[in-house]
Amino acid sequence: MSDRATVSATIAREPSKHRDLTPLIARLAPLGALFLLILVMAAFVPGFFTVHNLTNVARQVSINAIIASGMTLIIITGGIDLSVGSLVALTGCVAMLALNATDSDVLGILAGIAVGGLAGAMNGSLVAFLRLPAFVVTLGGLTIFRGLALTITEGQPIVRFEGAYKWLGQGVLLGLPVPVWAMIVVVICIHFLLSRTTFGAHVYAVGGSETAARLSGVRVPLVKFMTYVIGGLLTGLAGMILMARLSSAQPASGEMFELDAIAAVVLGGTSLSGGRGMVWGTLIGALIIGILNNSLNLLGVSSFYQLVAKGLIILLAVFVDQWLRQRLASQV
Amino acid sequence: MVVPQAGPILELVDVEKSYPGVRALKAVSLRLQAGEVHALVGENGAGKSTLVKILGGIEQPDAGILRLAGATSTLASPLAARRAGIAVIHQELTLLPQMTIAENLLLGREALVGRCGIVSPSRRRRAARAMLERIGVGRDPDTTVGSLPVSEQQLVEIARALSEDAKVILMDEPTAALTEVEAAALFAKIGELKATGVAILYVSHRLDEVMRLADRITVLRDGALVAQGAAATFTVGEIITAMVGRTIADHYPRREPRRLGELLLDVEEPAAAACGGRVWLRAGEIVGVAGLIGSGRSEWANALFSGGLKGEIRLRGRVVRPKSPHHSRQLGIGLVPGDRKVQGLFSDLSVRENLTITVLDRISGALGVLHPSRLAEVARALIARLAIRCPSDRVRVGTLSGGNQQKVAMAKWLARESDVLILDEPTRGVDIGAKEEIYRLILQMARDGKAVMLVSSEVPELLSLSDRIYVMRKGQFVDAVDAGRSSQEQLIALASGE
Repeated sequence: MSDRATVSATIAREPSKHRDLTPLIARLAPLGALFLLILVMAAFVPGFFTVHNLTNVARQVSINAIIASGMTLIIITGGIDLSVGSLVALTGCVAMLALNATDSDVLGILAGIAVGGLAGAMNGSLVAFLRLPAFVVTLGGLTIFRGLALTITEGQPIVRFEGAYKWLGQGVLLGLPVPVWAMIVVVICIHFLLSRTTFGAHVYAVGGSETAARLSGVRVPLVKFMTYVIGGLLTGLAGMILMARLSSAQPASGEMFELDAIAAVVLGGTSLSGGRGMVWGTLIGALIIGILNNSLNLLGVSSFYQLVAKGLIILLAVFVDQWLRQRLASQV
Repeated sequence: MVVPQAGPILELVDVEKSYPGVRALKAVSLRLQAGEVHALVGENGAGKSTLVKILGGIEQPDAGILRLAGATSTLASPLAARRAGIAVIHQELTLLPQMTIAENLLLGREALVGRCGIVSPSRRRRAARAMLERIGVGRDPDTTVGSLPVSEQQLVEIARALSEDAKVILMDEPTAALTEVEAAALFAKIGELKATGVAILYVSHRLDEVMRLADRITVLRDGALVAQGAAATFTVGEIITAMVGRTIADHYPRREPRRLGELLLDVEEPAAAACGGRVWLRAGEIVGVAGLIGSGRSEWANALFSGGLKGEIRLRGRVVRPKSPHHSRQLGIGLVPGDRKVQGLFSDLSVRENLTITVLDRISGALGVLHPSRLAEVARALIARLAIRCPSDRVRVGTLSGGNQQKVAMAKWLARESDVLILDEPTRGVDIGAKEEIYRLILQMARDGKAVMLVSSEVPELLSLSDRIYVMRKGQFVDAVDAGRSSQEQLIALASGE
């Protein structure tokens, strides 16, 4: 408990001392929180600060970080995607069926990722072109994708022990697990997309003010649609990694992944009301959640309490975000 | 008929109010007697809204005295004003559209019709019906407010005001959204209210209404009181002269001859039957669009840009069908919207992001890749060209002054070098200095051969900048005048239907 209190106190106190630095601090707050968390855990949790454990944390974090990177785009435009958890399961199941049918690792994985993109396109069309509320559309997606995953597998896990596909989840490249490499590549790509492309600038514009974006000639529906497609593709990739790690497709997997992803985005300083956010913040958010889970595990805290702890951290992050926003607004 | 009491119900003495860069009210005094309609007239920016805000408790005066029934008083908040018996019927109604009339009328006062927080629907209905009957509205109190026409929603607001024992009712442009018939019904109600001893401060642009309703008239110009007296002592011409007052003031640029080029934009418009069924702009021309608030000016400009017009549109002689702002942008048409904060700018994004948003497709490399140095270059060039005052191009646009924000909103479109630029109220809410700079920009655009459509409420601005001026009234183009041969009096008369 004490570590969380320290984190919050640090985030909360600094801006009042340096009023004009508030924007900078708002940007650096997640990084500071992560740094502090690592320090505290290294000091108090035996076995935390070892290469083996840290590699383990990175591996565990990677799936959430990849999903959350796509979610960051969606949330910056002011949207949300609640269907990612079910989609992880569905893409895994489709990929495994395709893999078994064709006996081709590549085809199976491509099929899984394609299904992710299709599902994103479905969500995106409904949200962007038919203007349905994202919350409801993706809530529908949440049960549809889960239902489809259960249907095509008849509710049973499909195990496949042999095959090169497992490398995606279990392989090691230059000393780092492959999923960690995947996470790094995804975060760099999304960061580039957001900060250095026309599409990225349009994403911020749509989130900043949809009307102003439209009147500036930005094709708002197209931008929104694309964020859901990218989110779906990345969720598909995460689904492939999970399947490869488990050497099986589990129709019941991925439950609550949407919450972890949204939590990572919010913890990373992206505003749920849109217009503001960065993907490296999301990576930090995912790391914070991962480290917290890992440390509580090492300390032997029951997983039930861990849920409570995670919820409290999210509330704290939203509180700090709101508080910083008001400070920023009052500076005008 | 209630005999008016001796003293005024409400009195303002030498009220002053300043905003950064503007003196909105200069020593304005006003007395409201029970049972009279007092009209407050003036051009946009004359200080009417500021006065209404002060009386509604939304703004506090910097100096001056406010007396209620003879006692010096302050109106610290909208609630305080309501408690003091002053009700404001705003242009935008403040009812909750999805709730019923009865729910709206007793909102916040449910205790009157319930016990221990439990509302009795039947008592609420009865109370609401009584309130409606007081102003002669026979509607079922269970009707959803959103399903009522605006005119009746206004009456519901008046009923609410009366039920709170309002002694003074402020009406801010109450007929802006009403049809002739509805307006006539409202005037009849105002007559009945007068008879019960309520004082009404009636703010309007429409001089015919003012002459018809008012007992007394106060004319404001540039925040100062320029004429006040019994309505019978004024003619419409005298009111207009008082409103306009001056010849075109110094801060408006001197008219200069311009060389006009080819016909750039030619719009076939059924609503422009009175001026040949067409609205057109030539290269190098500044075309004004005049009209009262609610006359449909901005809506028309927006429809032209967003693809909502029915008639044929020709750009350089070629028929085009703009489908969306994106399409218009590609065609070379730009719009600087009137609502700067919500539509024109991204307040939370940086100056650089705002300035470059319309040209990203032009300055990006392969696959839409952007180079920060190129963005900075574009932003810096615009900042220099428009003399935008900002500490750096990375600060949030929301932190700049109104005038500089407006320059950013315009620069965004200048960057695009569009052939046709529609400016909706480009100088609304900016100080004199920024105004002059914006005028210079507009004139420069015309010199560069652009076609500029200037939609404005400021008549002198239209007269000094434009070549031709279209006048709109109630969604129709009623006339097109040569700016060099027109006058403020003529335009105001055309716009208000005199």
